[in-house]
Amino acid sequence: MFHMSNILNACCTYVLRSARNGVRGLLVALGSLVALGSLVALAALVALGGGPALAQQSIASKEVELTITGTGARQVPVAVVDFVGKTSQEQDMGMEIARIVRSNLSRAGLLRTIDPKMHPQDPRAALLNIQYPQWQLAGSDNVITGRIKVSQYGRLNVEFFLTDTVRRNQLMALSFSTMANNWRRVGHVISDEVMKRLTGEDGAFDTRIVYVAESGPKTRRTKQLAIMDQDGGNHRILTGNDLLVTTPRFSPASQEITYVALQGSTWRVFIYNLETGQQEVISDFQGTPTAPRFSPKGDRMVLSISLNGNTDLYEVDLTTRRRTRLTNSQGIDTAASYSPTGRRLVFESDRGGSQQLYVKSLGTGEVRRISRGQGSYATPVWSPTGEWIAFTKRQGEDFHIGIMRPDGSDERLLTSGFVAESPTWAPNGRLLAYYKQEPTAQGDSVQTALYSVDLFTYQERLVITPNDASDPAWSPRLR
Amino acid sequence: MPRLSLIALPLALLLAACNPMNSASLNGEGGANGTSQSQELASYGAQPAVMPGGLTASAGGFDGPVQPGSQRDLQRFASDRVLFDTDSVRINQQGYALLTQVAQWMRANPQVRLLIEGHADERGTREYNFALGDQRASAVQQTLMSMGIPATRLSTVSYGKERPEVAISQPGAWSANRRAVLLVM
Repeated sequence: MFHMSNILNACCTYVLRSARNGVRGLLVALGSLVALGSLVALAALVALGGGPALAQQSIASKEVELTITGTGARQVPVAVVDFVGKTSQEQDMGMEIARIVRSNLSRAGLLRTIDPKMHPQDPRAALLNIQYPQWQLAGSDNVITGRIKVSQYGRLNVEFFLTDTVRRNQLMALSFSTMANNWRRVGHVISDEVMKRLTGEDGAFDTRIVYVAESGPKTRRTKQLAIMDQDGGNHRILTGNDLLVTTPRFSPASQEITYVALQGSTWRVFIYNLETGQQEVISDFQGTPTAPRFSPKGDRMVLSISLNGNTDLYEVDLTTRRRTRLTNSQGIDTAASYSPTGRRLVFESDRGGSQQLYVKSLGTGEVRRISRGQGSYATPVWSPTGEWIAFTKRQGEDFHIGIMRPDGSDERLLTSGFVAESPTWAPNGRLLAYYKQEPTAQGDSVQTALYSVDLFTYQERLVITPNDASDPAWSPRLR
Repeated sequence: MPRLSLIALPLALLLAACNPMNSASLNGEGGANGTSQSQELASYGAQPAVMPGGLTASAGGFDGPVQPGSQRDLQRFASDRVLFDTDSVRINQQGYALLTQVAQWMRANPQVRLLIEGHADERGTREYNFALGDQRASAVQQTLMSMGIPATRLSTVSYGKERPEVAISQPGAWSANRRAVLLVM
């Protein structure tokens, strides 16, 4: 169990800058508050302490939007000081938690972390009494300090403090309590809190990614379901090598994953429950089921079924298991994704000749083509904020990952590769993960790897995995 | 929630892959699917897998008599694979001629049932290729049915781009991978 409590309130005014020219920035005038997120997570984590809804409202009501133009935008500098502990176990854990926070924040685009070698105070001194001018000189407008204690019963208590060295204010002071083996998660939760407080943007640090771990030669590839924290920690393989797993997708509402796997010579749709470790076959359809995806509430699923050379979309009510046919066209309708309200679907279809993206209203049944550019479009995925649809595009020799508005406007390509596909959104709607495959020059080997791109900075990063990796799917926020 | 029972097929596949010459002995112990899959791999293994074009149906290093109605019999009499053009599901002239022979062979071996695998090359998205592979397998099925083979003797499965026959990323390999494979069940 995990709880969080308000230690004190702080007052401040803070100016935030986005890291990219012309992207929106926020001027946030904050009253007295410490932003508190309730931690309702994984196994029903209970939130104690101050009211999160109230605190968030007070931010929203005082927000003024402005657009930053020119090249003056900069990354907010922050120093993450090692967390202090008494025993060597606590010291080690404190250094690791700080390292996780540092690594998370430096990957976030909007923030810049200060090299610990440049920290003017040692961790214990900084925790007791921050020397504002010294940190200012070191270029650190913000300092994170913390202390940790592991009880004899194996419980971990972490307190952390975020201090504004310019205005000499404590911006946040939070404490967490959890089982000691959950320490990595503390680092991720702190990262999200700091991100939100310093930039106004939601982080996606306290999240996980499921993907397909690949091994073996290209002609006889082994593909297993795997899961890890978004930073690669806590890596686990979930399925045996009796299944060839493809296209996993997280439920936006629960700790469940759906995927299609080959068992013998039959493809089946599975749901894997992360809490119980159980796998369930959703249905033994006549025909080949592919491309399943949960509805936003997790109560329905859309999938494709191929039968007699025709692939159409179906919706399955996960309570009654009743199946409804959604499309009935010649050719291939597949890779559907719900809008955040669950009222519309975006999918790919070759009904007009080439693969293009279409949006279907589930209420009226109306279908409209949205992709307009050259080339063919596939695997559309609606962003959790509803603002964008990510897609895979084939044009020329390469695959591209791009985004467009739900009406098809504003198309942008973000990255390209020999194969680049399977985009998936982080729950904050700012980060996209996907995989790339290198061409096989000789022999029977194949290289696949996960990448992510930040829509604010357009920075692409390799997501490190122990094996080759494909088909990533980002979890919802854990709390 | 029913838990899944595990099937031993992939293990059989791995073993067959390690030593194609021994896969014949595995076949007798595997299930129906295991048998046909292992044989298919054995025939791949008998070829240098980097040379596209030379891969159509060969019994490779097998010695001994050919069982009537077996995979090797089909390979010898006709071929067990049909190739397709890029992003196409049409049975071309060559494919049609081949399937005419397959239909003749099936009439001569009325006990035989075929599993038709549809495959795609790596130049498409995963989801689309599953659908494309299904269309290819269906096209073969429909063609054989039009030649008088009853639907009950023909089943289909799509592998999309999951099981290429030739690994290398070049057009010759892609054309070898755009295929339907006929497996004696």
